[in-house]
Amino acid sequence: MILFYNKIDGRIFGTIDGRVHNREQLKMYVSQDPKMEIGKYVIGFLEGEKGERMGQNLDKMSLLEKFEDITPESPLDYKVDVETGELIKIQNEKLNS
Amino acid sequence: MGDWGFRISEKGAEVLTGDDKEMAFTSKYALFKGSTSGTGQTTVSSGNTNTVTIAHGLDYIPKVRAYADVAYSGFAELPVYGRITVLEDYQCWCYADATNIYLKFYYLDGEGGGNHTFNYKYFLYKDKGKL
Repeated sequence: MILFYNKIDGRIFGTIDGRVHNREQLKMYVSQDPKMEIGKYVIGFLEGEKGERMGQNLDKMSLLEKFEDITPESPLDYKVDVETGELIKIQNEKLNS
Repeated sequence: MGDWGFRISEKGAEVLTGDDKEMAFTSKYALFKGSTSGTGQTTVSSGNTNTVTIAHGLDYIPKVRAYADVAYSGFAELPVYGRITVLEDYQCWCYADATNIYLKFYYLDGEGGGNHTFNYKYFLYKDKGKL
């Protein structure tokens, strides 16, 4: 899974599902503000030109399983700590005003 | 091109000689060969339209389906429009070109000043069909 986040506040605003991502998929991006600097956080594997796989954040695979199953755990409930690069669960916030 | 491909017949039909319509599956025709999906969230200020742009890396216009959670009724397939309250209108739609898919979210608060967060889910299907 590729998580797209705002590099300023770490907020995750979009994802691409999956565990193995090829170069084509890496070209994908999600943008809602052209000025926003977007970070990508990958959980799973990046696939090279020859099919070789490079693990990314594999210690988060159990969390990825929760994102994939029917539990309400959502990657949108997390943010990336822009200082440490770690995923942090954010507290419930009132989204709509 | 020789006779090659992939067929799965319905019960009682001969897989080698049966008609296409007797097949549960045949690779003779264009079919979706894969998909990419994802989720996201966008907060729209009243009177504005947010555009979520997703580059798909394909060189053709893919089939796309998208859903948004609207008006406390769960996820609805785009395009969808309606009211959240008597004073709050929304419209959500999507389209694609050979570079991107675009998800559009419009929100209007009749009292002004508000905003609304839409959660969305998209599916992009890979097949050129007869394009």
